[in-house]
Amino acid sequence: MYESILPALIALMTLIPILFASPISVYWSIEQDNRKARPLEYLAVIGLGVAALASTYIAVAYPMRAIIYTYPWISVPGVFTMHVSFIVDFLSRYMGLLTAWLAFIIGVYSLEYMANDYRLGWFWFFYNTFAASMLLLVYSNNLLLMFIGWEGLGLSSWALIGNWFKDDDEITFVGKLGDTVLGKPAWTTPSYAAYRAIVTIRFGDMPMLGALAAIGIFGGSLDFNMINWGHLTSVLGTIGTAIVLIAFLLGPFTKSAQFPFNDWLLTAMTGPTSVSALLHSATMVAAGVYVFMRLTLSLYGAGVLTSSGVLLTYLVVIYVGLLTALLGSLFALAIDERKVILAGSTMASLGLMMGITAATPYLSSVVTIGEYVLPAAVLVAFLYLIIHALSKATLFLVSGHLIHETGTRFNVGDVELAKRMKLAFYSTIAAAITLGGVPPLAGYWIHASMDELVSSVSQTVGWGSYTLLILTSIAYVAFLARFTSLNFIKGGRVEHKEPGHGGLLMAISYALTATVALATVAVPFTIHAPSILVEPGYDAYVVGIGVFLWVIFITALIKPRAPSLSSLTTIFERRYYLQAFMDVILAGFGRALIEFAYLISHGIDVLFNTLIPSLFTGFSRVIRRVQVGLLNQYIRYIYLATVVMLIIVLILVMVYG
Amino acid sequence: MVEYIEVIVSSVIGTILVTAALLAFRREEYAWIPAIILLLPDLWVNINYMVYPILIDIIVVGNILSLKVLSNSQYRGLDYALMTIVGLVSSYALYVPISSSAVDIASYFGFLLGLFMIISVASYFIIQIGAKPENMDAAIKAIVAFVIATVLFFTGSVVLLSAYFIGSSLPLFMLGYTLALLGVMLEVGAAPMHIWVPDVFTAGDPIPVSVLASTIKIMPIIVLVKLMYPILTSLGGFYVSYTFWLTAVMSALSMLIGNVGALTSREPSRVLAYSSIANMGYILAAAAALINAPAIVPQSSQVLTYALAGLIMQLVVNAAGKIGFFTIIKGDYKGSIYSYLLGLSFIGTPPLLGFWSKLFIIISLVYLGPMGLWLAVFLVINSVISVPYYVRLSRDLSLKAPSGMVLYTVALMTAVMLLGIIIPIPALIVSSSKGLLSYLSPPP
Amino acid sequence: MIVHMDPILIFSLSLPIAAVILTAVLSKRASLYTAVISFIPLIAYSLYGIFANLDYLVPLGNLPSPIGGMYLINDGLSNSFGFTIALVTAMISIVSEPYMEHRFRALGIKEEFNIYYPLFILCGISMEWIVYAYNLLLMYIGLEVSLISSFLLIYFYGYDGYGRTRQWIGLLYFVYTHIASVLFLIGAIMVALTNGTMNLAAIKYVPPVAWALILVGMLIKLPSYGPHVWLPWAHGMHPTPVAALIISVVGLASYILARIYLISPYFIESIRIPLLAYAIIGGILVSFAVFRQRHSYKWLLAYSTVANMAYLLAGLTLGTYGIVGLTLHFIAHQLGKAVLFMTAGAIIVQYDVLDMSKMGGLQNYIPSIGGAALLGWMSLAGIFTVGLLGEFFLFLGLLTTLGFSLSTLWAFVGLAFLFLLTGTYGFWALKEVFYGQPRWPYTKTKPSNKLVVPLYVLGLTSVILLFPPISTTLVHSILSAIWVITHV
Repeated sequence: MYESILPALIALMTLIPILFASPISVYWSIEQDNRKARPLEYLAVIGLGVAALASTYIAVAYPMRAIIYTYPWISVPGVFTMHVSFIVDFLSRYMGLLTAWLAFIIGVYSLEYMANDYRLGWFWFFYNTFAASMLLLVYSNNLLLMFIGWEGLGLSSWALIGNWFKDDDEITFVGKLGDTVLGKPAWTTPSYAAYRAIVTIRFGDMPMLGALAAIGIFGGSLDFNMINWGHLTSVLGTIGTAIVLIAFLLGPFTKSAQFPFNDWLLTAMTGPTSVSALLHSATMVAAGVYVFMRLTLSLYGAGVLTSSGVLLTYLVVIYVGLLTALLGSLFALAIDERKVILAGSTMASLGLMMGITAATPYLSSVVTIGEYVLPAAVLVAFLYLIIHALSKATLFLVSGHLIHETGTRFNVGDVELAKRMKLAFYSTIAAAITLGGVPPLAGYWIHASMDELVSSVSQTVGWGSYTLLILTSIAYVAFLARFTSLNFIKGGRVEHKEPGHGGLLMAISYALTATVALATVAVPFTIHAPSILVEPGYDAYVVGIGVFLWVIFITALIKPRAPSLSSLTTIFERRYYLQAFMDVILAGFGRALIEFAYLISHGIDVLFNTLIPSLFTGFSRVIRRVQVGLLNQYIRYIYLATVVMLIIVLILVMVYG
Repeated sequence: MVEYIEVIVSSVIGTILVTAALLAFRREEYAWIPAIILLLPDLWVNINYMVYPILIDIIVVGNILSLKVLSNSQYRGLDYALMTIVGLVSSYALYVPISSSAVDIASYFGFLLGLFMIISVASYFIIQIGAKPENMDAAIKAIVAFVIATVLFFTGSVVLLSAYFIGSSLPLFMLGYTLALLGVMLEVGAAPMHIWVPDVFTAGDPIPVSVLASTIKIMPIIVLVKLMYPILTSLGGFYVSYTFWLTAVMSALSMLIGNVGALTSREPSRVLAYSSIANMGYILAAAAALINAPAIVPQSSQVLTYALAGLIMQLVVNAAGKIGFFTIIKGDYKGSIYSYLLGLSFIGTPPLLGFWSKLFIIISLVYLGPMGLWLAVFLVINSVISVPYYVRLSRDLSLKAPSGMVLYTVALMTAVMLLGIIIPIPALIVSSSKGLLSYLSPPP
Repeated sequence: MIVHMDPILIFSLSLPIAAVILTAVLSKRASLYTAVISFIPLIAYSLYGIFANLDYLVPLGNLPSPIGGMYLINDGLSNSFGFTIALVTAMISIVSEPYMEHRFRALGIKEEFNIYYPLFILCGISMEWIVYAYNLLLMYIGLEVSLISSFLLIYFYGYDGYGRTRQWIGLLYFVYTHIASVLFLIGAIMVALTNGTMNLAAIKYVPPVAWALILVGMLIKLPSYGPHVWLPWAHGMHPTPVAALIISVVGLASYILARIYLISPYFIESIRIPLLAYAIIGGILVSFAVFRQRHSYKWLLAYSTVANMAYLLAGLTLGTYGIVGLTLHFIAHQLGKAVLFMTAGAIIVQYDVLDMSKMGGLQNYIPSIGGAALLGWMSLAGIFTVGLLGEFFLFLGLLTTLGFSLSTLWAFVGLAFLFLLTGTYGFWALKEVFYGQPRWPYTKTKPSNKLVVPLYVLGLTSVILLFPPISTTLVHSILSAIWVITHV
């Protein structure tokens, strides 16, 4: 019964949001009237509401065991059969719940935030497609079906980052207008940011698609629960397996903005804030981590996690993840734009999730929930994903409201502002302490577990991992405090032109997510795995770190602008010159290749279309030159031709005769 | 078979008498009617290969119709009769019952030379039809060329025949073949003996030129084939490799000079002159395959079938196209869609007739093996070179819709090109070509 | 293979030929309806063929050896190509009306729809004949007829530019593709002489010289890197609806190669590695050159076509799944590129602009066209469209033929990079044309529905083809067609 109604539920979650968003996009392409479009906007949000209810049904009513629906899709005889296949397991039931509800709440928020936008049809269509693609990805059990959702995410994020395609409003940019690096603009417009996003993402997607083909051929299936990983690793060997897995993981790396593919995420802040909120919490970037977790579970289920190729890959991922985490949080310490700070923070969190998940092969501890069996590292990373999603959505929603109120995207705000926007202030504090890892909130317990996990694997993978984790934790809490302080306490006076307008719907939305984020403190205690989720938090050493984090948090609140570290700060502000690298060196290399390719093409064109034809024309003129029009000349010519022929005959006779 | 000559002869005599009667009663403007009717007895052949005289008759009818466009003919009435006679002997030429026996060769040799003579002389008259003083220069050039051509061909043929009867006299043989080939090439205007063609085509009146460019070209080629085939089949060896290479190289040269020469020509008549040179190249290629095949490949019947089909069709396509185009030129460049269809057929666009003729020639060349493959490729390259000028020609000649007799002539010629669309017709030509092979001797 | 009379197929293939004659005398509007209606049976029947998984030969008649039996083939491969081309022809003939009205005005001549429509339909239907023909000679005739009709359209109504007249450009197009066709013809004749027939069902072996001639001819036509220089002229200067149609003229070269490959695969297999390397390197180089075509939106699209043809060539070298990938990518590319060309056409109709450095921000002025362009590039890049399956099957082909090892990693990386570049220049072009600040003083206009609706039909078809049940049956019927041919 559960299996058979699953496709209907998935259809409710994927098709309904898109169908319900279609009327407004059709309407908007015919007529653009924000007031008349209002009911259609509600319709679009209702579509998301339906998805949220369906996901709730799955999360609540389905039994705690893996439920898989399968229907044949494309059969490749003798190689494998692809299925339209959906799965409900621990990951998907809660990820789906989170995604659908966050999409719905942020949708409600957008009703107010985007009310006066000039591109409602586009926005809602792609917003809902965004959510639907993520839900498709979450519940897919087939890699190619998942990949369709994956591509849908990339496309929708491109569309939404570039929502304000006109590039005419400075408030939608990222970076300081007029600022340059190496002679190139260091600021980014929405249309360019969107382009950077999709190009970076597709850089990962194409190898990933190739890896899917490899998995299909050597693993005999593309369904997560059917892939014969053992066969794949034995056929391809260590290096081959590692290449396939790295090619596959290039997708999650780019989508989850792992260093050095992270820069698109920061410039993606050109999109509407509600998009950033969704993109950074439960969709897009989370998709990369989610797929990596699913891959880990699949490898775990096949029992090949400890084969050499897999270990090699996971070792790389641990370091890439933790390095990304540190770089992201350092960067967030130096930047001066609200949303970009949060983007840096997301990057850091994603790095943590990746790194922690990648520790799985080095740990043996397993948690059983219902009939689900989860490796401890996956569980911890997943829980971190959830609290991160809730907190980060809150912070973004607050920043969006702040941008509306203050009329600027840069950090500004004092206690007066905090008094005026009490709910916003409350939500920010709640999200910051939940996420920051200070005791006794949810973040603390998760961070404690991470500490425990990483310290236990660091003997195998090297102490560098642990160092990276601790440094990240410190920087992380510091920039969260800095964000709070600069926007509500010590950011300076707001020069707002007119008194605040409305904002109630927005405030309710983020207050709700903030409260849920606070409430997640209960989660570590409700899952019956005390040795992993609770006990590390009582460790004296970890408690010490927790207290230390509080100290940092308070210090940063009081003194948000740290003394300039001169050149180091510049490097952070310049995002490690990644943008400059992409825009100057990479693009310059590209331009050189373009010129090279053009020259070859042009050369062939000139050769075949100009030189050779003119050769024929010249030849033709020569041929026609004998036509002088005089009979005596012609007779002489005929005579000559005959004589030449006779001479040839003579020569031939002498040679062969 | 022998009765067939009586049909031709009585038809010729009938034409002469009827035309004379009409002239006597000053009703020469109706002379085209008996001319066409008396052309038809040449269809008195086996149904298997009737398509050959039919095609020739259509061409001749096209000539006669186009002559009606000409208002100032000084031979009014006689010109129609002349066309009929040329048509009758042309369709007869292939049926001359020659075999490889020495007696046959000797006895029909003179007969074929005579036929060649008839055409040659006819062309002296034709080129002068309707000639104004400014056309006379062209007429003189053409006549001089024809005279030299006839002399070369006669000399060459006699030398060749003597060489054949004397036996194993290679130098004599080579000399004879070379001279005879040069004669035919001069007669039909193939490079490098093409020197007179551009001037005559440009300066002459379009209608007589169209006759020179069409029906007149059929006979010399067929005579060449009929004469050389039995001799070469029995000689073989080095003789054949010489004759093949000589003919093939001349054919290639003719294609190249014709097509490249036409590229930069602006005047439509001049373009057509070079196109005619190129077409003679294609026809010589078919002739080369045809006369040498039995000595080159053991199973030659496929080569012969396609070479003969290609040769006849290419002659017909060339004739129909030239008549059509020159008539359009005479009618003030009004060709509308007809000029495009004619041009496309010349380019070799399927499924027009011009495509099939080239296809058959190419098939026969490819059948010859590596010896013919290069010529096939060369032919193809040439057909590509010809694209620009045919397209330009079609456009230049497509100003308005034609009317009156010009329309009828052009429409008839276009209809010939469109025959290729009816798939059974190319197939029929191939099968009738098989039947016609029995008139070559020894039959394959 | 089963021989089976199929009057419906013959009727469907003949109806447009009748339409060619009819449209020469009908009025503009009636011609439009005739054009669309005449292709509907073919669209419906080919779709039915895909679902019913038809697979048989349809006899037409016999010609003497070496031409041999004339057959049509009704299988998954021909129906996939046939469906796409029929749909595109029908849709583009709708777009043609507003576009050509504009074109005739711009040329300063009276409306010549009674010349335009017959030639346009002739081009479309002759491509259908190439697809369904199972005799080399019939294929050749289709090649030439489609060539001539599209040539005449550019010759009459094309664009002058870059120092060349449209007549020159038309001739360029004609000469190149004619060389291609006649090389194919000689190859076909050699095949016919060794096998005694041109009937593909009876041919068992294609001699190497013939294979080489056909391959070179079709590479010129495809066009692969090197001889590709004619395509930008032709595509860039064609009347835009014709440009949208002749994508099939070029793409069908790969279809013909695939058909011959299935019969006699040894030749391609023996040069697999160099050919694949050539396809990938050429494709990548051309993809880079796409960025250089900012001077004309249509030139950019033309270069992108060359780059996409590299996919097809790569597919040819990659065995069975490569052929499936080739077919699917052909469909995606044809649908997507037709949409894209018509967005260029709509911009021409509305603003008379081709130069991309004058575009930008057009989404604000013609949003419906901007949306269609997105669909087009999605189809090319394989996002959410059947193009995704195409790319996937190309990868499958690569891994089944070459395996997966360090020594063949270059092909894997190259293919991925080629796919990546398509998306890269696609979204770059979208940005340059439709987003950002306008670089020209535009005003808001509303394009006619005839310019908009067909584009969405084509774009959404590409989306629908990705999902079950149609993708299931599509892939299945292509695979079984290949299986039948390779196992008789």
